[in-house]
Amino acid sequence: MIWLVMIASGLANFAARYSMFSGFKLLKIPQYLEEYFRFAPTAALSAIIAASVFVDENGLIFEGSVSKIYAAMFASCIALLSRSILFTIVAGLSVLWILS
Amino acid sequence: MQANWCEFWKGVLAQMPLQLGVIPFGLVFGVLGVASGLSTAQTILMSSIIFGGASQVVFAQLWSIGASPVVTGGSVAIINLRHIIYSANISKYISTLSLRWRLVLGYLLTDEAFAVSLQEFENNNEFAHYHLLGGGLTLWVFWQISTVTGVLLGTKIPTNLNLEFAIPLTFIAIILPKLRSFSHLSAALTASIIAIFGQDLPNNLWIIFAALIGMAVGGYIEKSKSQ
Repeated sequence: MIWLVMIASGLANFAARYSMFSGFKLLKIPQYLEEYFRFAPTAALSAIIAASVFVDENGLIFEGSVSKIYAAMFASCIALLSRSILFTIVAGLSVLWILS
Repeated sequence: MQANWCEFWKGVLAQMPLQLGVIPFGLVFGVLGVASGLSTAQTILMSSIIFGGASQVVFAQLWSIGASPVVTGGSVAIINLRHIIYSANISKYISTLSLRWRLVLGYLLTDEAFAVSLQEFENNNEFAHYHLLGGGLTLWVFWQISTVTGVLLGTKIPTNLNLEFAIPLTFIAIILPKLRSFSHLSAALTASIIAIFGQDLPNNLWIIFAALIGMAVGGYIEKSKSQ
């Protein structure tokens, strides 16, 4: 099953990239939709960040998350200052390890 | 060297500095893929089949918490909607190329490759497609090598280190520097709130709802601003 989903995701990914190269006139996306699409990564990734930081394994909001919240706050500062994925991960995980 | 291959190597060179960001991301994905329960083969091959950093990490994350195939695939698809915009931006240059070129460039089109080669297309560089091919291939090669290295490292790292927390941290590093406008902030906040309070929705549907509504809010604000 996982292979099927992976291949389907890969094809969907390819379709999005290839979409406008195909030369089909039908595939002209309207300008107003482009404005919305631009926010797709921000919205989807923010949702995952929020759920992984504020919700614990048991589905409780805030309860088991204090150290994760501090780790995310510190990592956010580092992300804004360094713009480096690596430094952000190191910063966040260090705080998490110290606090837990 | 012929002008077209000269352009190819320029694309390769232009892509090099960006590998400083690609390599750690690939390593992280390799480590996380294994940590979230994917097999070695699944993790490594995903880098060729999906070939998209954020998409792959989201896939691994959702699969490991038992999200349904539809939710997992749907979330990856939503994240990739932005590629339609990239594709649209350079389509008028590329739609005249042969099918072979279009298929290959379609597969290799990533955030980084697009960012680096767009200028060449806009300058009406005759061999801009070679530039994109060089940049795209470079990223592809570095992505595969760093994934495999991450997988090899990942199988040696103990599992009690909360390494899966590196997923949201990775996304924080990607998203935060981009939250510079009110519309982006609103999209992020809306999606976050829905994600937190929508946890009880069946099949992990919170991710789809949060992404779509966040997108709608951001797009709406952006539109009302420009009117």
